[in-house]
Amino acid sequence: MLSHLQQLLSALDTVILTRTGPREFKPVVALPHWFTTVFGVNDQSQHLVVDDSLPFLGNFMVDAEAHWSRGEGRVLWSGPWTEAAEGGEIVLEAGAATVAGADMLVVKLLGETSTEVQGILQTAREQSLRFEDLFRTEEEREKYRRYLEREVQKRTGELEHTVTQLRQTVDALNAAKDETARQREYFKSLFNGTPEAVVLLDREGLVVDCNQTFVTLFGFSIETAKGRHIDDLIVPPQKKAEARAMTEAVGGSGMVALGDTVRRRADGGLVPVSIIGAPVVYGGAGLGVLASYRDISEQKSAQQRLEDAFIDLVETVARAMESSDPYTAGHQRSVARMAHRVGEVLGKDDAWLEGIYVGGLLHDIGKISIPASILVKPGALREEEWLVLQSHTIRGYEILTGTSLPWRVDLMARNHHERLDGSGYPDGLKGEEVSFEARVLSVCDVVEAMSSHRPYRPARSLAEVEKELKTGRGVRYDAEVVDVVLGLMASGEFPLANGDKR
Amino acid sequence: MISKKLCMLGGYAVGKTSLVRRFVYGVFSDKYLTTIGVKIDKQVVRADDRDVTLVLWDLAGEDGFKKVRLSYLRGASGYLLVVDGTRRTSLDTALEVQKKARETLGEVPFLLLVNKGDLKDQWTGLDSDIRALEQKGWRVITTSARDGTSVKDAFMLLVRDMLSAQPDNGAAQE
Repeated sequence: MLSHLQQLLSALDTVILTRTGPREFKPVVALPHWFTTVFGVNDQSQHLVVDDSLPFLGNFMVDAEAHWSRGEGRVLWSGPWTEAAEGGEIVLEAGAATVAGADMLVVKLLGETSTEVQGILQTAREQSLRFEDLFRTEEEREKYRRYLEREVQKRTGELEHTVTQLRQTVDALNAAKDETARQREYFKSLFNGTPEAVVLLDREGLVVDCNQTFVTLFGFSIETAKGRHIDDLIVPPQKKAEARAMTEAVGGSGMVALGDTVRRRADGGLVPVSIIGAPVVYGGAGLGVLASYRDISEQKSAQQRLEDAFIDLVETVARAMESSDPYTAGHQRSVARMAHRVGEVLGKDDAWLEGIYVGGLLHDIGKISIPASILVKPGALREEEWLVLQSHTIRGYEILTGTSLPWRVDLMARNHHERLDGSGYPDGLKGEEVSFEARVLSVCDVVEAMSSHRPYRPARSLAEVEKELKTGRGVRYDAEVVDVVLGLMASGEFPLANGDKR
Repeated sequence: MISKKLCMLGGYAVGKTSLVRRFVYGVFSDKYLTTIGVKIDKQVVRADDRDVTLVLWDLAGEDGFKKVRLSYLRGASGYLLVVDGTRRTSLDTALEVQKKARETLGEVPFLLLVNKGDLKDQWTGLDSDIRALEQKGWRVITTSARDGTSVKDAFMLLVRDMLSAQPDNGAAQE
């Protein structure tokens, strides 16, 4: 075991000696060659004597003896020293320790360790020297000092400039942030404060946000509305196509869409609204749609009331005009009602239907100028009387022309006795020269007149009326209108009894 | 024979080892090789009609990386404090080392060697400091390990001072 330990220590270039007397030591391990060369001790039988010939160890002995006297097991190291040996120099270090009561001296060859340390120190010092070389003279140092001052000033200037720019940027950012917040607040107050229901949609038509008026008008909470498609939310089934077209127009072409329509509330009820849809564009890209809905229920009601009042007025005029001709009382209203119904079957819009109704109510207004003796004359009219009676079309036209009504009721009055084959009066118009409204009124006028009692003849039978229509279909009367009227007669809707309300 | 321990002190790369080599072996090498720990040389000189064995302790230069082990100074009869005339900072280091040496050894003889005298044209900023030190009583010698200028004179001057200070070879004997 001892032999192995000795070999290990030898491999570590470490020699251990035990103190045998004052400054006298006996090796306890095999001695490497360097030890013999430096200290002149050839083998373990010889003692190492530290005398004047070994000045470094002699100096270390002062510290070592103090250390041994304290009996400390810790090794006290001398620090390295250089010795000439084997044609060069080697670096050694000595140590002192007390182990198991024995004072021990350790001498080790630092070898590669010292070379490494020396290399590191050498490199560091050489670099330091090179640096010092750069500024050896006062002139060079002054030059460098001035250079540093300039650099510091320059860098300080750059830094100050950068700091100033940063401050300006931060100030601008803060100002922009404030402005953005202000604008957001402004927009929010506008968004929420507007009396119209406003909803913001994304490009897919999904609700991004809506204001309180929207919530109030449609009955959906903001949370419920958000994320839902606007068409699924408030568009009734019959308005889906219209809504889709409007959304596509705004989203696709970037145009503003306007329109009056109806939308559905959360409770299923319909509300008439006026819609404005505008694209939300940022940086040239469409982000979505901003839609506003104005509840026009009041407006619609008022408009309806006005229309109703107008119709009442027209009906009143009609009744007043018919009061002198009890036999035809209710005739105009019946014709108006029938013409309106025909228009419904033909799919005409509300404005057309309203126009034909008013036209029906006033088509015989010219009779107000016809003497009652002719109007109520029992029996056949003489030719001159017949001509007077026919003049009611011209007179009606003259009364109605120039009114600001949106429909050409003057022409309806003038032409309701025209026939497609030119056999009518007063102008003997043919085919397309007779307006469609006049063609409708003419058929309805014939049906109503034939179905009613007249002073000069009794009411005709239904069969006679049908025969007249069928024989005149496409000849005197518009075929499409005749077909509709015959259909309504077959279903029992026509003819109407005089005085029926619309 | 009288034996005197003489220490070479100063910053790194000021030429301590080169001065010893010039003095002991009469040689000079441009190659700088940093000293590890301490290297000891001996040289017998004759001074004041006496043979003196000089034990020269060439201590590793001090810098921010390494400090002088004060135990190495023990028993020194004198020291040569070396600075590099071309490096102003080496004087600052030398002054710090001298302070430690005086605290450790007391008032023993020493000389300030301003080495690299052969590069005097590159000396900077030392003149006024050296004059001030001389006014304090320091002896300053310009040396050149490269061409040998004043090297032997410096060593011998210190030896004589050491002998004068410790003529009986007492405590300073190695």
